[in-house]
Amino acid sequence: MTSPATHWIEAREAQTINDKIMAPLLARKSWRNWWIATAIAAIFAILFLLCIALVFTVGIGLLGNNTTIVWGTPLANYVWWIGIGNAGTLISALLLITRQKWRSSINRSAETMTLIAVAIAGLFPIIHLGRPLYFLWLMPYPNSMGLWPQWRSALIWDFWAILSYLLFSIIFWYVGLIPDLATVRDTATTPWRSKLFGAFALGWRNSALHWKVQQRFMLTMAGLAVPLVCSVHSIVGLDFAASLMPGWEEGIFPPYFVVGAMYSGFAMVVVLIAGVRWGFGFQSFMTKNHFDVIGKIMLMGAWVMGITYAVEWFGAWYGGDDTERAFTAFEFVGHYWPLYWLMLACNVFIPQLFWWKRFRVSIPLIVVISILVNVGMWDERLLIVWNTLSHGYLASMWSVFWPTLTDWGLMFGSLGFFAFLYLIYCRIIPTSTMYEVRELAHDAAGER
Amino acid sequence: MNVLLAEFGSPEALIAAVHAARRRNLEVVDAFTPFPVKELAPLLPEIDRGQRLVMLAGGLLIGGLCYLLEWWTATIAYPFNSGGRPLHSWPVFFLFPFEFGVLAAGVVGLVLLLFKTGLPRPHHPIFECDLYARSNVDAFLLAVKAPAGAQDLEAARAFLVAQGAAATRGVEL
Repeated sequence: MTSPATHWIEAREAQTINDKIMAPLLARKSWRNWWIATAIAAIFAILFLLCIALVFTVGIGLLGNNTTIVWGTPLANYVWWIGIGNAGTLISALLLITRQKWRSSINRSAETMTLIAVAIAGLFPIIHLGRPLYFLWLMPYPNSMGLWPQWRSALIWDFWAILSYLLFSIIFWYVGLIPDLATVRDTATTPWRSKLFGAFALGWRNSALHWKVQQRFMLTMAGLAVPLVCSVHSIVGLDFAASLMPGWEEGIFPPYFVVGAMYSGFAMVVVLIAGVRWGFGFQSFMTKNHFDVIGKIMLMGAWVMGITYAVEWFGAWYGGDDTERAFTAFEFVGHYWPLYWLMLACNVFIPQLFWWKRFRVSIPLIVVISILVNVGMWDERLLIVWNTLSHGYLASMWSVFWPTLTDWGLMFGSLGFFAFLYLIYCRIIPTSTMYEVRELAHDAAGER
Repeated sequence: MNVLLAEFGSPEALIAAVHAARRRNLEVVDAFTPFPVKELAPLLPEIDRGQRLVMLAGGLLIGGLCYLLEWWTATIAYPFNSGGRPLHSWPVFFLFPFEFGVLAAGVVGLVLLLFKTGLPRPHHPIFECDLYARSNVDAFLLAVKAPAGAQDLEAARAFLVAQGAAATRGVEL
C-alpha cells in the first residue's frame, strides 16, 4: 500500500528542489550553525582519536575490562554502531523493493549513516584486540608462517561480514549518487567544483539508456542487500549465540539483533533527517508525514523488542536451567538493575507514545524519543556483554564492570566522530536523492 | 552519428513523441531525462539484457572459490583441532562465501554497469548542446537519428515541433 506522492512532498518545481538540495554545496552563505556544530563534533572526534592512540600505545589496561568481563564497552559499542550501520542500507533497500515513495528524501541520509557507522564499528574490535597490528591475520594470505585463518571463529565471520557489507554499501550508495553528482557538475559555477564533481560523476549524461541499466542495477542490489544485511547482523548475533554462556546461547539472538539494528537505525535516521531538515530548510520534501510513518515503524520495533525480551525470560523459566533462571533474576535485580530497567523503559515503554499521532508528527518529541531509543539500544548492547560475563557459570568468577574515562572517551568520541563525518558529508554531497525527489514532485504535480 | 534533439516539457509528452517518431520511421537513438522514466525503458534498445544473470554467475563463482579456499586451508594447508570440531565444518563454512559472494555479485554488476554504459567517459558531445543542462531539471530530450537530406531533416524537425517540442537542435553524438 502506498500513499499518493502529494503526501510526501510539498515542493513542485524541479528547479526549486535542485536549488534547495544543492544549496549546502554551492550557495555562498555563512552556514554559522553548521560551523558551530562541526567545531563541537571535531572536539569529540579528536577525543576519539586520542583515546584510540592511547589504547594502542599504552594497552587495553586503560579500559575497564577485567579477567571476567573480557569484552566490555568496545564490543558493546561495536554492536551498537554496526546495528545503526546495518539499518541504513536495510531501510533504503527495503523501501526501494517495496516501492515506497517516501524513500526518496531520506534514503541518501540513511545510506551515508550506514557507511560512517559501519566504518566506526569496524574500528572497535581492532581497538579491543590488544594487539591491533595482528588484525591482518584475519585475511587469508600466503605468509611465511604457514598460517591460515580459523574459519570456525566468530571473529572471522565478523570480519568478512563487515568488510563485505561495507564495500557492498559503498557500491549501492555510489551508483545511486552518480546522477546527482552529474547535476552538481552541470550546475556548479566554479571550474574546480565542476571538475571535481565531474570526475566522480564519471561523465553521467542523464541518458535514458543509462537510467535503464542503473535502475535495474539498483533494484538488483536492493534485492541482494536485504539478505546481506540480515546475515551480517545475524552473524553479530552469532558472536554471542555461538558461545556457551547463560543469556547468550539463544536461538533468538540473530533475528533479535536484526530487528534491534533496524530499530536503532530508524531512531538514528530520525535524529539525522530532523537535523538536516532544520539546518538546510528541507521541510518541503522531508515532511511531517515522513516522521509519522517512521514513528509507526519504530512502534512496531518497540513491540518486537518487548516480545523478544519476554521470550528470553520465558525461555529461562521454561528451560528449567538454574543458571539461566538465576541469570534472568540477575538482570532485574543484580548489579546493573537500573540500566536494565532503563533499557526496558527506553526500548519498550516510552516508544508506546507513538500510538498517538502528535508524538509522531511533532519533530522535537519524535527526536527526543528517538534519542532515548538509541540510549536504550546502547544500554541493551552494554548489558548483553556485562550481564552475561558478570554472572557466568562459575560463581567465584563473578565480577562487576566499571567503565573508565577511556571507555567513556571512546564512546562519546565515536559519537562525535560520527557527527563530524556526517556534517562534512552534508556540505559535500547532496543529502537527498535529487532525481528521485524530482520524480516525486512530478508525480505529485500530476496527482493534483 | 548526427542526431536531432527535441526538448519536451514532460515525460508524457516525450513518450508520445517516441511513439509518433517510431510511426514515422524516425530511429529513436536515446533520450535525456531528469529522472528515470519507467514507461520509456521498453521503447529503447535493450542494453541491460542479462545483467542479473551475470551478477548471479559472478556471485556464485566467487562464493564457490571462497568455499574452496576455506576447505583447502582448513583441511590441507593448516589443519587445526578446535575443540574437536570437524576440520571441514561445512555449516559455518557457508558464512564467508555467502557474504563475499553477495559482494562479488555487486562488484560484477558495477563492472557490467560501467561496461554497458561506456562510463567513465568524462566528456561527451551532448554536454556542448545548450539544451542539455535543463535535462538535470525539467527538460526531457529526445534524440532521433537525423535524416540525411536537408529537406528530410527540416521535415523531421517540423514533425518534432508538431509533437510539442519546445526546441530542437542538430547534434553530432
